[in-house]
Amino acid sequence: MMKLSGWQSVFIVVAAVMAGELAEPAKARAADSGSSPIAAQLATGRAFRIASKAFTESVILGEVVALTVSAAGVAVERRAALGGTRLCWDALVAGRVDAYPDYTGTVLQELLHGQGDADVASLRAALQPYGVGLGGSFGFDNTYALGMRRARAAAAGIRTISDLRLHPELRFGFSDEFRSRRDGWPGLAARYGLSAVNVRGLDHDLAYRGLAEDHIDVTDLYATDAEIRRHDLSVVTDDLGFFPKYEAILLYRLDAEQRWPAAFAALRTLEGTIDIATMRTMNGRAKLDHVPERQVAADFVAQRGGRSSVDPAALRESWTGGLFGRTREHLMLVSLSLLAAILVALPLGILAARRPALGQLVLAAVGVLQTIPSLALLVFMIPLLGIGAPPAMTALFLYSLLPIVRNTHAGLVSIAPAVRDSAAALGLSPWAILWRVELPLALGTILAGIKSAAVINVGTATLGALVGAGGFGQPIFAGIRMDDFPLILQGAIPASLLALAVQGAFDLVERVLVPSPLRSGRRHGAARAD
Amino acid sequence: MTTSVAPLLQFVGVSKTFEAVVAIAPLDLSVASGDTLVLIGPSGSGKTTVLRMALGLLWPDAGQVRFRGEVLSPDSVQRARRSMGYVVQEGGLFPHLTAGQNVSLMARHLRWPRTHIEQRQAELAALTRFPVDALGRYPFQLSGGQRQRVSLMRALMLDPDLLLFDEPLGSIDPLVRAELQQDLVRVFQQTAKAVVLVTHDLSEAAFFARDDGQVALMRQGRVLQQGRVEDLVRSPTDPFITKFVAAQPLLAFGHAYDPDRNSKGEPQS
Repeated sequence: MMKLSGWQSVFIVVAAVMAGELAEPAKARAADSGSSPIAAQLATGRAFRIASKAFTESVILGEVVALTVSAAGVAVERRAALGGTRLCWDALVAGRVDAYPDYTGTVLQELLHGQGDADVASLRAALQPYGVGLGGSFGFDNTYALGMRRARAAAAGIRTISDLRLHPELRFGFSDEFRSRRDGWPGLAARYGLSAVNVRGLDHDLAYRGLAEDHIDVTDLYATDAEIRRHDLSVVTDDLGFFPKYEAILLYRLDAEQRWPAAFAALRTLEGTIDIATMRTMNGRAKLDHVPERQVAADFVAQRGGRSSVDPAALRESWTGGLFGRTREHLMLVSLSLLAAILVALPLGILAARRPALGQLVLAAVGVLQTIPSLALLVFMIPLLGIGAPPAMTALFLYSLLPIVRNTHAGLVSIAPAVRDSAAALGLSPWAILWRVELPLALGTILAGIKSAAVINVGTATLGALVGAGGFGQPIFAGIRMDDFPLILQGAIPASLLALAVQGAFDLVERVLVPSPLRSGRRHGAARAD
Repeated sequence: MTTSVAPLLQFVGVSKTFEAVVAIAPLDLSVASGDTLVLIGPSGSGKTTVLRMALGLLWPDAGQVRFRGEVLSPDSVQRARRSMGYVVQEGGLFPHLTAGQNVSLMARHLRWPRTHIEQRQAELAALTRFPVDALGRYPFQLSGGQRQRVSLMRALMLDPDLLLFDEPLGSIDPLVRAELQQDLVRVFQQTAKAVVLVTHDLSEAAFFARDDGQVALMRQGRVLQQGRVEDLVRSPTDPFITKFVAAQPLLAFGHAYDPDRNSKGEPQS
């Protein structure tokens, strides 16, 4: 019988777990056939996971869906404002979420590469091979449009998109998605022969501010945007009929329909109940009046159900309760990633100090990791680790490596040779020298590295909200989405305070662990004897 | 070979080269139990390299270093080091440990009973005339002389057979230096240990070697002459020795130092 070393068995266990993880969607698909009673049992054990894209309307629709499913007696797990189209679609196909609201035009152009017809029936057929179903329209068509300030459009004499050809001087500010989508700016420019050079990308919600403050002249709008009235914008007519229809629909996994028939029966009653005016009003309440999206959705559902209203207190997480939850999420992200980083970076730093040639390589490698933009790193993690805390923690872990490895290395190589020789001359083994002399001497420097990693992580962890990891980033990004400054502060202030608290905690740890002669300002003792 | 007659420390045809520069030419040395050998010579003559090879901090390119008759090797060196005490110029104390912790580090590592450690520390403090109440201080809170006393205590803690000193008084001011010299010689006499001491100061060499000690004058990795100090002064075997001695006026033997002379008055080779 083959004998395994400790490391080999660890590797095998890890590999097995990973294989299981990767096989999950396949397993889920197998379970869909419904032939196995075990599969049915498994199905009832899990909540219906509903995601939404990262803009107000999608969040409201997602919440309406969640409340409807929940009212049908099915447990619901929310992944509100999960990300852009591609991210939500990938999560849906991979079985990490069960449903999210989207639009027919987006499905056709973005997910099916513009091949086929935009009507619901042909889209539904085209999505079948992916194991994805498409519900009936919620009742409105949220097509793209271009908008300008009324006065600016009047001054330039612009009423149709064709008129834009005569005004190459106009400054275009488009949402990043619109700027890169086939059914967005590239297609539009080709169709109308527009050759504007002055095109920049910016967040859709910031584009309105850009228009209002005269930084840009033209932006992309959605037909249901509440801001059209608020900012007194004129919609530039799509005279060539370029923009496809964007009927709001629900995309869902076909296996979910089999698992939760009651939920889907309830969802079918939603179809056709939200017209464009209703949607624009709901968007307005959320974005202009700063009513939480959950409340807006709850009021809509209550109204449909004939009840006057839903008790707001039952829906809105209490301010402190929300803070508590977010603090816990944030601390989990930071502490687990930091702990893992310490366990890896400390040995790496020691190795780097012991083997200078290898050390240069290690330092260069962790340095390169640090140069990857955090948002990009988070997105790279999604195909590997899915959404939620794992990709965020992994990214934070990778970022924590550099300060800890570098400081461990620096702390060890700065120890005076005479001190190291004296320790060796006592007859201590290399491990005992490391443990009793070198690490204690480098401890202050190492702790400083861990501290800066922790403080940076507290800030970077706010980006975790973009991949569904929660934390203080959630109110920050929700606030940006809803143009709600106080909501942004609800995330930003606790994040700053947490950073300060982490700093303070490490200062305290330093005071306890590092003997007084080695604390800052008295370090020359280590380097003097030579 | 019978270890009982073997010298405590022996260099047999040892040579060492650093990046094409010869540090130690083939060298033979021998120190018996209780002997004192003072290595003297200008900077770069290989004195410190000899000490580092005795400790196994450096390995010879050729030849053998033997301790108690056994060839020093990476496998045997840790055990051998526990029978040696090493004191460097500024003490090489561990800055993160108090004087007492510096002294007891190895004993604690070997899990000596606490009472035993305390007893040994008190004994050594008395021997080296180090104030017991200063054992709780960190090295940066001690004077240069006190640091050397702590370093000496640390070297003596495990009661080694051989003490190795590398310019132990090199950075100590003259008055304290005189006092420390006296104390060191007294410790050597009381403990009867073999001592190898490196210095570039002839009067210091004379002082440490005054009771049957040998002095070896080194230059460019070789021992030019080994014997009593008087032999080096009266019958030098090499013109360089004459030059070296002439550059460092010796007072009557037994005097610790010449206060008129700069302590860094190192002869040029």
